[in-house]
Amino acid sequence: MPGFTSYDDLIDKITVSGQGSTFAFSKGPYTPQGAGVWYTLWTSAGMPGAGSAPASTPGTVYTQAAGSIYFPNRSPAQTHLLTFGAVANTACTLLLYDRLVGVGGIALSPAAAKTVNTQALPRYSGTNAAGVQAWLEVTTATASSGTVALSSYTNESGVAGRAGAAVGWPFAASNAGTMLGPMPLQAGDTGVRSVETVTTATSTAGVINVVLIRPLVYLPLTANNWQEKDMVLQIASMPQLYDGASLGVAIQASAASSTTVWGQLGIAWA
Amino acid sequence: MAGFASYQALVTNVVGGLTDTFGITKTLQAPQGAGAWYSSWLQTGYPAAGSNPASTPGTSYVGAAGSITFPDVTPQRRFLTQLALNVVGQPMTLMVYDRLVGVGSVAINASGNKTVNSVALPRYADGTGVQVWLEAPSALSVNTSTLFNLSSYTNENGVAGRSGATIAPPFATLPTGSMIGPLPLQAGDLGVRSVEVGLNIGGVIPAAGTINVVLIKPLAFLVGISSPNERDQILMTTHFPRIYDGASLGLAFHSFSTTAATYMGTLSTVWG
Repeated sequence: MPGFTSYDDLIDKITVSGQGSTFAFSKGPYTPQGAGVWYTLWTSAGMPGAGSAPASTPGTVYTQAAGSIYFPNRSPAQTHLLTFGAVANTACTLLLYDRLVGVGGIALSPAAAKTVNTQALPRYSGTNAAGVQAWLEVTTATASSGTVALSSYTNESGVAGRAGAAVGWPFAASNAGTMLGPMPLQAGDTGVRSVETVTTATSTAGVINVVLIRPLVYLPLTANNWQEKDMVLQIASMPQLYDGASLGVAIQASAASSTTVWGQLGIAWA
Repeated sequence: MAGFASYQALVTNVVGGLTDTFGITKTLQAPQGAGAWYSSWLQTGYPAAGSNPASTPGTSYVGAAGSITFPDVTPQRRFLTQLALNVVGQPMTLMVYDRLVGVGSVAINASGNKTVNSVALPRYADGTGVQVWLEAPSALSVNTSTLFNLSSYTNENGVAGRSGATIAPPFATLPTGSMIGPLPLQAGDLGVRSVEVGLNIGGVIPAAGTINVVLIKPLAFLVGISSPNERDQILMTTHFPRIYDGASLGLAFHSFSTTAATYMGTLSTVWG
């Protein structure tokens, strides 16, 4: 039976069986455009090395992907995230997520419905797509503000043709790395299995990725102070890291200041 | 059977005296600025100051002078169970790491690839999670447009010839012990087994100086403030990394300001 039967069992698995490890990471520097907005560190240098933009439609499926934090497959055992800690030289909030699929090269101009047609989720498939979010990542800066919406997606129950509300870009011109999301869903929906089209209402320059992610943990940071979250005893959640998980980090900035993040996560499997 | 089958088993070993506590005190160099890392390796205190690593192929750290060391316990296993820190001067983030290999006297006053050819890792042999940092052996004048990168290293899968992106120093003036890193890796890599030829210098080249290339395995982090901060690594956070035989634990801190500081603390382990 996979998993841990008790905290004693967790201690046993880590210390006796050696079924635990930590990974220290670093990403940056990245200079956000402004406060209160999310930015991807996927293409930032560091450890792990910089990831690449997804391919154009039907895009890229992320399985232990280059650029991500990933671990060996352990099936039939289950891997769980135990701790997540970090320090950054600016105040920010970190998001650790599992990067599932992405479609790149989506031009925002002209204003119209854009074909996305993401591939099937490699993890959190079927109704487990509840909690999967769609985000946009700017790869070529936009030139003016405007709105964009998920105009056709398939929800967590497999119902196609769903549409969410439009949301505006945070800046008149949003730089590369800016993230927009999670994209609003239609009332009643809790997740996304796939995205078929996104629609831009205003013609503007710029190119984006559409990425489907599963958020795992958020970590608020004050500048230059280590913060660490324990997901066993402090906030009992122990998110499972499925085989093939491709973990990425995003930041919500507090200022337009160059930011580097150093962190560590701990896992165990049984 | 090495390790602990339960929390009670761990407690039994603590009560049985199978525990070591190492008291720490270090006088820190005044940081050049906030938001950068500084090594305590060459700083006076307890443990005593370490020495700069030898030139290529460098120094393999096994119970090394200048580090926090513990007796070997094989066939049993040792784990970190407690960290405590009290800082006078400025708040900081402490990194406890296992110092594995260092190569000193790498010249940085000329552009191009520098020979490092680090010796084999004495622990964490496959290199997963092993990071490469640069460490200033003395005060250095560089440039924030000086660019360093790993131009040839062997990754955790034993694949040689890997290279990573560039990284620049946080400041143009680097006090002794300033650290730059971890040096970026090639996409897909998660660690370093060795650095060959090796460290590339580009951008604005410093007029003089050498640097240490150190391979480390970060173990734990703790925030330090002007009041004692203690963390139980078992019941306050589920993070009790193994301390391998021969481990040479070093300390580094992430600065909050330019104020010089002193820190004191303890590090405890239990074996079984």
